[in-house]
Amino acid sequence: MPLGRPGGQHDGILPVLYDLALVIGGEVSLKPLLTRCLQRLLYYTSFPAGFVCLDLPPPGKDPSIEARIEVAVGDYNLVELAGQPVSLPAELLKPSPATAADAGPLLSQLPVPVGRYNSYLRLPIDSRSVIVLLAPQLPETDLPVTRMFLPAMAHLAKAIVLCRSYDSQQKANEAQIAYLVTHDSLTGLPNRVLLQDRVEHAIAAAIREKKRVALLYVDIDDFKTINDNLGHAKGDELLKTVAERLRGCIRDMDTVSRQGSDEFLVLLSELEDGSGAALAAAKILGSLAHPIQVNGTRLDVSATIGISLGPDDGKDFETLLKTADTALRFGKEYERGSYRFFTDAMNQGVRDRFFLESRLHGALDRREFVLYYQPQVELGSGRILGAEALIRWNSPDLGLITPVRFIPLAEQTGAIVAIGAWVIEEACRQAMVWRAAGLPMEVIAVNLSAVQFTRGRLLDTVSRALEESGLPPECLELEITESILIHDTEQTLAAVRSLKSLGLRLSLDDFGTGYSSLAYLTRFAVDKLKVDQSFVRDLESSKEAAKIARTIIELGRGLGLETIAEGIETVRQSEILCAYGCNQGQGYHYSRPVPAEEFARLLEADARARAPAGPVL
Amino acid sequence: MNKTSMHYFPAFDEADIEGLLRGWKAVDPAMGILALVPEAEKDSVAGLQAVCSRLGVPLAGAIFPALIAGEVFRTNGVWLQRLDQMPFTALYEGLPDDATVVERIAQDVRGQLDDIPDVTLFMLFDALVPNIGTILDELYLHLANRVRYLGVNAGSETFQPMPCLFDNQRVVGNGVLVMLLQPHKGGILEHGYLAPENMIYATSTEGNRIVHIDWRPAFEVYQELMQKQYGVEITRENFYNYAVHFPFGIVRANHSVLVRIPVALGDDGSLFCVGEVPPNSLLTLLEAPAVDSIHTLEALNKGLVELNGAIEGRELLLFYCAGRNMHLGNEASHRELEELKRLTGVGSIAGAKSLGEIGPSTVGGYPLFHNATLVATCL
Repeated sequence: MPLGRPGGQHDGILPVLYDLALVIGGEVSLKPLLTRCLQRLLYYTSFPAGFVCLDLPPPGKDPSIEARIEVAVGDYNLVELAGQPVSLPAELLKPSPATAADAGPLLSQLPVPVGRYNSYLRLPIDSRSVIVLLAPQLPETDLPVTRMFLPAMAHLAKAIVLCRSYDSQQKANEAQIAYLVTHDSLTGLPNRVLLQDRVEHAIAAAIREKKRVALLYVDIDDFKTINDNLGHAKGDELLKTVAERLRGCIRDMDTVSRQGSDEFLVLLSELEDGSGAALAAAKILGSLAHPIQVNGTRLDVSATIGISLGPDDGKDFETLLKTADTALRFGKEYERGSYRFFTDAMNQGVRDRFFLESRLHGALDRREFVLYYQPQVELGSGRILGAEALIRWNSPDLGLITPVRFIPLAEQTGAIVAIGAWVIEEACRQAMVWRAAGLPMEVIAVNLSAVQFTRGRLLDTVSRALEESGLPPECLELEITESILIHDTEQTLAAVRSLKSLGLRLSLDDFGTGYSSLAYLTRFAVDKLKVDQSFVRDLESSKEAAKIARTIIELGRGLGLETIAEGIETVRQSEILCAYGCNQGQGYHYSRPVPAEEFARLLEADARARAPAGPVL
Repeated sequence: MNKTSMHYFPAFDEADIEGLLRGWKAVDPAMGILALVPEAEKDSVAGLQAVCSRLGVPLAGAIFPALIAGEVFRTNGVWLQRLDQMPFTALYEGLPDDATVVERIAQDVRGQLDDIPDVTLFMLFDALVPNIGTILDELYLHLANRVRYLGVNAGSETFQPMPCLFDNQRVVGNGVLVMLLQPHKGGILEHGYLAPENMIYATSTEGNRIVHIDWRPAFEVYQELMQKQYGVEITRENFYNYAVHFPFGIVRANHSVLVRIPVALGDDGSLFCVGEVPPNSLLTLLEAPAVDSIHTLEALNKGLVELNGAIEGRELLLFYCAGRNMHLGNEASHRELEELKRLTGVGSIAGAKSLGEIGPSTVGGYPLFHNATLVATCL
């Protein structure tokens, strides 16, 4: 027998106690400490099972005590009860060491099958904690087991205190880590991880209770500009203030979360319908409408909100987020500073857009774009002066697509820069081909997008196109819209002046439909005004339209500018415009936009007709 | 446990095996197979898997150094043990690195337990898993006395890595195959090694490596004890010839002794054993000639009868430790097997040579990892 020797020699005790001390000293957390200590005690004493109770109530007269088994080893019934409150015999848990060989009646009160154990060894850890070892029969030993483990129990009592301290610190650390994992460090708001969990729960509850949840996707308008202009530190301060205001707009049961950058998500639960979400969105927009002070700087911000309702628009977080995002994008595109609910039609629009976007990508490399040319004529004589180059997209999948469908998309994706450059180069090249062939091509007009002004290297593009094609600069006419000039910045002015310095001509498109500021015409040294087709179309039927068209033409003449009317479809329209003093025109009355080969034929025919011996057009 | 049947094929023949399985399945449609395959026939596992999968027969098994058939060790053939109703069987990989395996086993087993009181957790380990003792400790914390523990180690006798555990689809190493036999009374494990009185302490150990004994290099103490107890001079050169015959015993509080056969000698004088040696284990140097076969067999027989009642005529599944076989030699092992059959009166013995054994210290007690034992059970 290792724990003793016949004759009462106990030379096996010291290594046992040494080992037990190592086990106790080797653990820092409570449960492993108690488990390993109990395991070793069972090993040394040959008791097959045991359990540990801590924090026992003071002894009373009641024969049983409500206790909690912290750890149990060796008995499945007790292992299953670990961590739960159980009623145990008070006698078994007394704060004094004891061994009992015939304790069957006492042990029959244990939550294990009756008769399994008849003997126990009780080892108090301190006055309120105890280890109880159990056996069917008392294992044979000549050791004073009730006394020999007492020093180890005192050691264990101290270790328990230390482990509890460690465990509570660990819990605090874990809580801190859990907080960091689930919250945004800048604003302290729940992050996407936590929000996702809450959304999933809220949707489940909404389905169960036949209610609604709303997910509001809040995006600060033009935050990038604010951040770029004021610096990231102030941008961060702004976001913190926005977070506070959002929190102030919702109920305690709702959640505001920061999705990233300037995007916030608001979860509204237990709604009857969408009206609650609309109210909250309006409240948020109202709250953000008040100026925000950031380190002495007053900032006026606005936000756009996309709203999706669950479970109607999505039964899971990802779907609900996607639909709210779709609604947000529609809001951004059509009405910033407002809120917008998701609709199925948006989804169709988004699908169409994504498909178009996917096909647009690489279309230039695949040579799917072509230029059509619409003749521009001298109104009085009908002579062809030149043409406006108009892009068409000939997609193998989608057929011929008009610019109205793909230019806005190309502007949003930035693809317009490369596409626009190609248009300029191709138009110059083609115009020069015609001129070289002896055809009377005086002007080629090309439309410019506002994006080309801000993102592209327009001057380089135009210079290269002129240089490579050999087209005289005065033959190139760039058509710009009022929307470009409306950003009446030094940058725009400098860009326009640089272009003008190349010797080309500038035409102001759609004049009369927008701000129509006279200041543009002088500041930007425009050469030609283009009368919008909407006025031309109603020329015969609307006195108002006729008056505006006439005013624009007279204004142009007054300023020494050429004027050209677009959208002429009838002889009468051309006569009226001519009578008003308009110099030039274009429209279906003369010719629809046609491919280059066809336009060449038109030019040839026109030239032949005007030759001295030729027939009159 | 339901009625069982064992069949030994001296050679692997897919058609013969398919014929047998078809017959068995016709009688017991839910039957499954426990297969024991010798290392020399390991290539037949794929064929076995194919047959079983084709017939929809659940398969579990392991590859051992040799099989026991006709009371001798054989390196050919295959044993098929029919289980009328295939019990819960699961093959876990990734030991010892995957710390979740034990918890998964415990969870899976818990999910299978119902009101049947007598349940045996039968485990087949890859012998190269280095921490089987620790795994058993952990398992016992979860399942305690709810199951009886029984098992053996499979693999190559050369202790070279070899995928040795299989089911219908996989053949894996570094794992454990568990079967939950219910109702089942467990098994008996005995070695019969006698422990002398001299005790020493493994004061420093790392897994299966004894670094220090009584704070001195383990080999130095081993040499000293061999000289003192048995008059044998051990050197680094003759260590491998002697060690299998003079194993350590870990002496436990209830008088039980776990045999630990030293199998390698470290440069620093440490000794590597088959099976973990917990720190501060009380060791003894077991007496080489004193393998008490009669006592071992009688204890086995007595234990089996206590568990199962009369076992005459029944089929006995037996695993015989390779280390014990090395110590006794084939002739003595053969006599031991013959004597076991005569003493128990069983109809037949099927089994394999194992590389470590698992059994409780007492009936229904703590599972321990052993060497040099015989493990027997009636399925």
